[in-house]
Amino acid sequence: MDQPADSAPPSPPSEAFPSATQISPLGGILSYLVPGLGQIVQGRVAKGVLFFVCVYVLFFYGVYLGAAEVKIKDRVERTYKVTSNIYLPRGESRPNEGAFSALLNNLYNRPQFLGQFWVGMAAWPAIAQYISLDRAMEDRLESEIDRNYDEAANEGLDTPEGQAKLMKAKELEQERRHPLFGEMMREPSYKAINAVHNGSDKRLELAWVFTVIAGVLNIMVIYDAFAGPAFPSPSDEPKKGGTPCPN
Amino acid sequence: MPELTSNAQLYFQDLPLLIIMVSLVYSATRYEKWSAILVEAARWIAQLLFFLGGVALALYILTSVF
Repeated sequence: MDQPADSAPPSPPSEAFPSATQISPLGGILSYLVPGLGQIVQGRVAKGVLFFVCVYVLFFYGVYLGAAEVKIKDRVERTYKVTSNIYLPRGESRPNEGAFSALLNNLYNRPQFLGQFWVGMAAWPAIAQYISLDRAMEDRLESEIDRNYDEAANEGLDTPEGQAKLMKAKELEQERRHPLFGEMMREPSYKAINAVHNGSDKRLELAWVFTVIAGVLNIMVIYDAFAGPAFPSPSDEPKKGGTPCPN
Repeated sequence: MPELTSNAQLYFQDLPLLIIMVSLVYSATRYEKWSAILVEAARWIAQLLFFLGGVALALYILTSVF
């Protein structure tokens, strides 16, 4: 026999998660660092795990879609690699340009990172790569690598001189790596991007859509950890038009 | 009649994952109760499929006519 709904004692409000008036800055920060961590710390474990899985599945699937390695044999075989679509390019800085102004210019050139940033710690290698990258040094290395590959082809790959030039080019390629993160989330060269676009079936433009959506979704997750759900009543039900259930 | 290219098919195969994840996360930020989250997510999945399906159909008709 069904019990009348009115006779049931009102359930006490859960203290495990914050209500709309209960602000939790720590929860927001934790959910920024790792999606769903703020909710897990607040005791809303299942919801936290849901956020963690959904945001990271989108993000890392985007990373997978945007990572590619292509071997192109022209006069000599070269490997071009794009490790992911999460990166912040460092353009040539103008004279007397401050670091903040340069950052704004670089974000203007790669606005996707404004969305990807919000996925939290998973995007931090891109920041480390951006900080450590020296544009002038990078350009010098790039031209030196090209020159060594050209000279290796000119000398002939079956000659010791050609092999030495080839080894030198590969050494220089290793020099560009970040000491901690290697090539992870490193700004790819235009040659690498072109090679991957032309020589592989990867969908780089779709890849960044996934990672940007993951980052933007995490902004909502952060807000949920910071201020609770939009409709915080424990007995809430979705209603058409998005109005909260008055209970 | 135009046929879907292999590239278009590749794009479509990623769409369900995107729609399901976005709907689940969005709904979970609106509600706390699981039943409410799942109902809202199902509603969003249906709406997104309807909207994107409509756009795809419109584009398909346009490419068939012109």
